[in-house]
Amino acid sequence: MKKLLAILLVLCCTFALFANAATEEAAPKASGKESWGPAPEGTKEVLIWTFYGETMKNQYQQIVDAFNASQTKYHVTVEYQGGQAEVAAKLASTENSALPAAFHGAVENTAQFATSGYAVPMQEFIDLDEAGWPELATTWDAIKSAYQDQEGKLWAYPQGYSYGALFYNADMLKAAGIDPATIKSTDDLLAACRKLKEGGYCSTPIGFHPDGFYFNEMLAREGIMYYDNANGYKGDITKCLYVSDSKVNATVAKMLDFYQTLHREGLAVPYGSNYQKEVLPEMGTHNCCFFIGVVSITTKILDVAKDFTVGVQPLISVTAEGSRKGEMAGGTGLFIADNGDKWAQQGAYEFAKFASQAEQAGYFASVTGYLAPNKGAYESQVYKAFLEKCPTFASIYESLAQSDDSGNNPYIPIGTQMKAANKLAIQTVSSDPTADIQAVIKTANDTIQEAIDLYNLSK
Amino acid sequence: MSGLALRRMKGQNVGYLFILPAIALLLLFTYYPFIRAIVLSFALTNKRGNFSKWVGFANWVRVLKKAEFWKVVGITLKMAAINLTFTFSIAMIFGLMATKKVKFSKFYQTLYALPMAIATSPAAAIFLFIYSKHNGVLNNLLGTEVAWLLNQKTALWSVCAMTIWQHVGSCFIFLLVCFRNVPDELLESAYLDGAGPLRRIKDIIIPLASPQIFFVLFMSINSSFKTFNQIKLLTGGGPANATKNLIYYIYENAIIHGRFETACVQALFLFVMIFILTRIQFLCEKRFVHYQ
Amino acid sequence: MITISAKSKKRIGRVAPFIIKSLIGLLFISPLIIAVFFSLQVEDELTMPPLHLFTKNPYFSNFLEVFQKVPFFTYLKNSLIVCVGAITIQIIVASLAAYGFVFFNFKFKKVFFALVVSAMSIPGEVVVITNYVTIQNLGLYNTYLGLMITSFVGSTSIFMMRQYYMTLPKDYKEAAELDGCGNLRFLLKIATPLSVPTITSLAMYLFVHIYNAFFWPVLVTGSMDKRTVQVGISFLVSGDVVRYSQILASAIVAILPTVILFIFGQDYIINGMTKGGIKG
Repeated sequence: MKKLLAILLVLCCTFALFANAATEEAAPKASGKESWGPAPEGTKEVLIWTFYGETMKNQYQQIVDAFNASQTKYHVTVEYQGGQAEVAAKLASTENSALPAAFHGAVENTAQFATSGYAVPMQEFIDLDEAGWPELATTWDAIKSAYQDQEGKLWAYPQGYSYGALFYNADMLKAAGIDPATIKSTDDLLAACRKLKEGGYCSTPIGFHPDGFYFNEMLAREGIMYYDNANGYKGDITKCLYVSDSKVNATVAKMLDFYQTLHREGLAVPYGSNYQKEVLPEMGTHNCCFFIGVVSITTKILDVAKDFTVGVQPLISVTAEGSRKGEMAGGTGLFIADNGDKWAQQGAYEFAKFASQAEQAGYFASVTGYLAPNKGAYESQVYKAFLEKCPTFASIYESLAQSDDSGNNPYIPIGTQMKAANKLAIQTVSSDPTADIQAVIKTANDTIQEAIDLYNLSK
Repeated sequence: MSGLALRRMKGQNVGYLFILPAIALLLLFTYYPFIRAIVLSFALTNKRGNFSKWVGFANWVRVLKKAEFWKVVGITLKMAAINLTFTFSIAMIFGLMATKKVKFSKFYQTLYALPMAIATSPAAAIFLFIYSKHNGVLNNLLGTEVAWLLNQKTALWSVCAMTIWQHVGSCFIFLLVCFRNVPDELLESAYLDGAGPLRRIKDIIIPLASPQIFFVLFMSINSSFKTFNQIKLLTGGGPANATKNLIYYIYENAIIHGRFETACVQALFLFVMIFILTRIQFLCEKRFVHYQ
Repeated sequence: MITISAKSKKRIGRVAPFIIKSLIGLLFISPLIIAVFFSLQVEDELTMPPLHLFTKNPYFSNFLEVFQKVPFFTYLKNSLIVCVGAITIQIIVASLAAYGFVFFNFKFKKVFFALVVSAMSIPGEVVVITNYVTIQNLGLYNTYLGLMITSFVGSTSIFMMRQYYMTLPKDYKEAAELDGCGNLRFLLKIATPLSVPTITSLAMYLFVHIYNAFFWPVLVTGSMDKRTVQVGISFLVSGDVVRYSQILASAIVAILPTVILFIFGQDYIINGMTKGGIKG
């Protein structure tokens, strides 16, 4: 009896194995919506996880409400799940079936999401979309390519499109006789800061949005690749070039020297200060003239600039020789989560399309300060009105129109370690005027290299 | 075996039933994840924190060889020492000050303990405002312009100050209660013998309360190593890692960077460190603690 | 020349220490006092130096906005449910375990107790993710039980209860046994009432910890209707909120329930503890 049972069991197992193999083989063949199962009856719930805090979530909610009112097939709900780190950790450890339909993620972490196993490429839905997505064609290339993987598949659509910029108090520069258009490199900016301080125009001429992002952004503006395999676009990254490549090394050293000098000479609001609570108020009270930040901070700067004109221009490069052609994209995109519920995912895709429409995307850009991600949004009435408040914004779009792909984020899923190591480097030289720059670079290089090696080993 | 002994045996085994719920829950929610962490410290993990491949002691070598790690260990010890010393001393002083019950003593007694009732995130919001460089309360009071949380020299102390402020309360209450339990007759006879307040504290109150003092110290050591929310909300480990302790380092690796195996090694290291320290403390207990 | 009568001297001797002790206390909680004063000011008063503690026109809208923007009472309700549930069960579990450890001799008792004590040294950050996966497997995601269950057991409480039971004279138990009093009855009728002071101080200690939790509630809840005060307030002050006045007002609102609870509860706790006397 026992033997018989054992044989039966073995038979069942083998059968199960084959059955499994058979379905696995069959899976890739079935493409298109036929494999999704029957279309849902009634309204499909579409859940989005966000890290947007109260203000931005309320602004976002208006688009969600408009979408929910515009059709009956899908109903979108947005739920706050903590900060960026918490959302990422939660996504990583949530079972696929319990995932939401979509989530917000930073564009510089595209590679991380693409290799995570909890996201699906948006491209999948674009390819099946018979109705087409006209806004996609007029979306700026710089932002579109930032959301693509090595094969050119699109993983998300920008909900907010941001990138690094140099803000300034235009009236103060005019009074000091400085033409902002001449500030193109770290040397130019340093000279301007010294002039402002010596002339008594302000006490701490420059402040920063403290994020490791700007480290990469300045290298991108320089037009250099700081990882092998062309920053990961011609094969997987295996090496960080901060130390080994002499050009990269010299550029990084010059950039860190720029931060160190600014702090040593007391020209900067200390790096690491909360920009909303510490830096922008200094701008508002004329103690600070320049601010290196992302364009999504624009509305907050306009808020503090009660009695002066705010100017903005694309971020500087490290050296005067920098190409300043690349635009490194920042901001938040809507990624589709791999929860196995294709119709919910389709709903998230439809929502992404809806949110990219001129009226919606233009509205969101105008209230948040994000860039308009596509032509339609840029030309919308609501966004036009916003641009009038800050005329120099035109320089950003001019730069965007001329951009090439030399400034893309490095394609590797170690984004957070890379940013943390870069930020630590800037922080170290800023808070310690005697720090040895080459030692700081080596520490950053080693940390990043370790992360690259570990990722490649555990793949 | 007599019937009574048998009944005893059976009776003694009932003990298992009493500890069963606690042990089962501990196994499920503490030891299962912890053993998993031990196992994973010898492996590489993928993006989802799951096993990828064995690497033996490579993770241990990698973590322990890093200069940054030892800097973090140093900061952990320094922070714990500062927190422990000040929390405990302030709680002792407050406790001794409030021991004697008089009319309205409840008023200051409440004030001394109150910060313990304040959760870390609102407390951090208040301290950020106090420490702010631009028009912060502290700078306004001192007439300075220091970025308290961004200066390598002041950041650690600023974080500790808030932690101590929050932790004094519970230590204070435990100590207050045990000081009040010291029999009045003993104090009175000492007073009649001409012992001054300091001698009474040194020779009567502290020896008699030593078991409780030991208990408070034991809890404080454990919690002083686990300062986390204060760091996360005030400095994020900065500036330049000046306030990064092991717990924050572990959080950073496991949660932010998704390098779970690295976090496991560091967590085991921390576990061993606290474990050894509490053992040492138990040894000291046998020597110094006075049991009635 | 001023002469001070003996009587008033005595009065000064009584009043002066009180005033000094109270002033030290007020200084100690000054961060709170500061926060209350500044939460009543408009943003411009806070950003334009110098600061003034008193404002001519207290501005209460900061507080109204907090209640308008988030369902604060839902958060408070959830926090209370979680705290009460978790604390009650943790204390029951701890009492049972401590009773087992103190009054019985069974094999491997030392090993089991070592397990309990060692658990105190295990850093929570490393177990939290695995526990989150366990919660999902148990189907407890986004439930109150999921929020509470990892707090059902705590080494500190077992340790504390054991320390207390150890001070109970053994003959209590023997006498009870001779009277035919079963274990559960002894625990319920004799040991627990005697340990009320320990339990109250333990409950207070646990409340602070559980009310304070942030990362775990973020992980195991998915929607606002299950969120606790800590998470709700972080949503209000995270990232894109610029205004200090708003942040301070939110902080005060989050602090208020526990402070009130504390002011009224602490008397009871301390008196209870003093009467029974906790034994370390």
